Amino acid sequence: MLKFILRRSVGMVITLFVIIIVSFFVIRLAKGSPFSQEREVPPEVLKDLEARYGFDKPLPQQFYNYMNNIVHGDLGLSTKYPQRTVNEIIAISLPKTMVLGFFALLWAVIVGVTAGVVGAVRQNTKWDYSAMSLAMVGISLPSFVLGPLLILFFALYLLWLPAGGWGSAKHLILPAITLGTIYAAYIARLTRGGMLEVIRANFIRTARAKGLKEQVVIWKHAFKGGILPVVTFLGPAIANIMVGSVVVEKIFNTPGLGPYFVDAAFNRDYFLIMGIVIVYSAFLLILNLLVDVVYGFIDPRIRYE
Amino acid sequence: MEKLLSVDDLRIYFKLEKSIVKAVDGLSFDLNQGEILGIVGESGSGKSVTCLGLMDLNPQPPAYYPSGKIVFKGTNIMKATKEQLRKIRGNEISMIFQDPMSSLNPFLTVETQLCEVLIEHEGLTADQARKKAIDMLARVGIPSPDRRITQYPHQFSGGMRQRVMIAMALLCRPKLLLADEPTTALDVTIQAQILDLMKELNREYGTSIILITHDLGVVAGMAERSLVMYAGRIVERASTKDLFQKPKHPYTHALLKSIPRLDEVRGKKLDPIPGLPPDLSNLPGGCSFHPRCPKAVDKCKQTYPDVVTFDPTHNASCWEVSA
Amino acid sequence: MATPAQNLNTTSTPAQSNLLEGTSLWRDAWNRLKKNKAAVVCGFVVVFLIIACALGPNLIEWIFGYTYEAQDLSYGAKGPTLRPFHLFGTDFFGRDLLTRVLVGGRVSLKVGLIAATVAAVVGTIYGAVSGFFGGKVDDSMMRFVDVLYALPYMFLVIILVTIFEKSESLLFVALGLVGWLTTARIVRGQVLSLKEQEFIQAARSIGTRNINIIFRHLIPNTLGPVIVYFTLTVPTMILQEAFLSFLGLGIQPPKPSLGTLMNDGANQMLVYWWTIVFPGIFMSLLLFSLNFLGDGVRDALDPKMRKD
Repeated sequence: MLKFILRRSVGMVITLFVIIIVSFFVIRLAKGSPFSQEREVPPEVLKDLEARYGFDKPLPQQFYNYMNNIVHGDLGLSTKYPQRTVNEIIAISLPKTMVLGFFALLWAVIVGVTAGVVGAVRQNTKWDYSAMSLAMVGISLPSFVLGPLLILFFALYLLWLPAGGWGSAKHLILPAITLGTIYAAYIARLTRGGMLEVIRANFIRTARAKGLKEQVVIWKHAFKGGILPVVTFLGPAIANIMVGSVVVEKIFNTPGLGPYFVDAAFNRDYFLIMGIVIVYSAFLLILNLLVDVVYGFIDPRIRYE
Repeated sequence: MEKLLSVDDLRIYFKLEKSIVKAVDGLSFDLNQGEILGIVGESGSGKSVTCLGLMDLNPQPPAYYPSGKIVFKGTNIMKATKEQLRKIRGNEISMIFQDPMSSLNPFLTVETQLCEVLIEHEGLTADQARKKAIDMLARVGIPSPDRRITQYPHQFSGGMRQRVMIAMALLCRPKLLLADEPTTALDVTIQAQILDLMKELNREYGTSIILITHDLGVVAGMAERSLVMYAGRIVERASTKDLFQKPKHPYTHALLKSIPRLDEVRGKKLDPIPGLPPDLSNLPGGCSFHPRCPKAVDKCKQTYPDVVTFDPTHNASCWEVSA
Repeated sequence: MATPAQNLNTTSTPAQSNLLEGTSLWRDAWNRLKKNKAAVVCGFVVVFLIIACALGPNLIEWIFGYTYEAQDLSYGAKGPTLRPFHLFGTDFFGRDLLTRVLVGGRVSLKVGLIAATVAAVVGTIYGAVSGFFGGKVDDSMMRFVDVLYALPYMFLVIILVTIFEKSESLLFVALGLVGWLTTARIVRGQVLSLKEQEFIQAARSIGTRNINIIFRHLIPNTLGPVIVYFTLTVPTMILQEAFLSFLGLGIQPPKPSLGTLMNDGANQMLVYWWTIVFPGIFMSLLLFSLNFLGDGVRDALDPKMRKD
């Protein structure tokens, strides 16, 4: 197990390295510089600016310096927000994105798994049909449709919840639901499918033949196997939730990392883009590893070699 | 001898999209306490469905029961409430299945799977249950049971898994054990061991056994009486000895000819039964076996044959045999 | 022993019969699809929406003279009315929202279809090559797919579309490049099992060239799953396009797409609710019916994958 984690970690570092190289050079491939979109800057000032960020050096030299800084935990300076380092920006906003993402995932898993199990256990009843139709509606409701509709109804019409911002648990409810619902829908479908497959397995017949209570048959014998597809899905789901937060944070004016990313991409804020990509990627890779480990805990047949 | 189970005119049909499958179609038999009864037939003859039906384990829908009565120790299984059924399953009637790998839960340890039966039915504590489970594992011949009980099913070999299944089935000392092809998935040498074990346990605990198999060789050394099933009905019933020595029904003949026998001359060819088992949703008229029967006459195509009784323990349903 | 019910189930489904029985497989699938009422209804909705998007804007322009970019600042933003004919109302610039939604739908459908096609073609060829050659080639090609799976590729797409000139074709390519991974995996799996079958061995034994085996024999036989995945990719691609456009990274104004409309609506919704509600409902209806249709196609083409 430890060996497996270690080996995977090495792979993760390599993947991360590839991501850094690819995004570094893709960004630099394009014409223009972070300062080309600003108002006319006098040439001397521009030169000064470029020297400050090291853009006057040849590209390989810049890459070497950048990698050197990363290894020392320094993600560089932002060109758009000259007073702040990339590290500062990320340190302030990433936790908010993570909190939002966590609650979105929590909502997705709780609603999705419940609906999926109900659908499977009461297969082909009206419970099943309504759960699955709702899931289909959920899949067809992207966050930028659901979010505004929720705001219209709960914030503007009913005045129950704030339409956006940050501060209390109340501020989190609508964004988390907006972000998580589509994954709740996917999880519901996956859970139902997985549970149905397991419920048909011979060992469930055995469990029934043993005279166990139906709840025990479902939750103790079927659930672990039925939930496996969901565990596999969690890795990509978390990745997508992180990406999706870019939109949701925009809709709800959440001071997370998402808006910075779009902003940085627009303004060619090289180091900020790179910093966000690196942090997100590292986070995702770690979570994917975690998902694999959890998978192994659930299914004893998996062995890490 | 005391009657433990009596089945009367049992019918189990499956309703599919376009057709109705008559998996079991008018089955009647009795079982005595402590007896081993064999039920023999090809796959698709309705043996397994019967077996599951005795514990009301066929999924409904698509299964339904147009008629029949299953009386176990005075309780009609088919009219029992869910709660009554649950108390019987695993406690008074238990079952072992053909494929011991897929029949054990791969996600739970053997300990969990064994102990839960005792905790459920006998209200033991976890510790008591564990002790009893280890004893039972030892009894069915699993070496170092106190270590192996903590393992998962995939860590056991096929034969060992079937021993675990048997241990699990016998934990509550059931009155009746339903064994559905218990040795089919196992190696020949292991088969004999498992059958011996079942026979021992039958003697030791007085557990009645219904042994379901497609292999006449399996019932030979085990069951006093055997039923031969074809297309959901019993075509011949006899003591196992008579079945081998004086088979009456052409299907029984055919079954016997299709198995290798040690006392036959070497090199003698086996005769497989021609044709395929019938489509249970579209049975041929008259005797279901007539399309494959070497002795079939016109009458066989029209009317299902009456039961012909040869002696009190031996009868068959066929127009072409006489008493 | 399988219960008779199971036996009959499998013998009556032709999917498990020979893959080469092309015509009857497709006809059976078509019959199954026709029986799925929800899928048929959604199919009609999809057809209706496609026709509406294709012809609607021209029809409206012909009758009422509105175009998606014609402004009427004096009229401004007003709610839905029948007379003048603004079923979905107008936006801040007095542009007819129905026209804009239909044109946006046209853009979205185009992006969805083209990007999904790019994904299907790239994925199929990649997967077929990987599966056909097997061994080390397969290992490294699939390892590459695994690595790409782990990438936050939506970020790369965002970087791509912001750094380079904004153009629709770049958008198609960028989205298509995101979607081909799963197709590649599916096709590879199919090819791995197909290539051991007799007809491929036969083709090899008479010296058919590899490229012909891949394109004439293997790929046609993986078409079922590819089509299934394609139908499910179209709504995903529409969603991705809208996602980018919502962020201002996709289709550029004044040309509307469902994403930019949602963005406009989100900015105006505090005052003009209809600017968000109608594009939102339209988009969800489109996605819903495409998804349901895709599910139906999957059930029809691959009964074994059916969810019940």
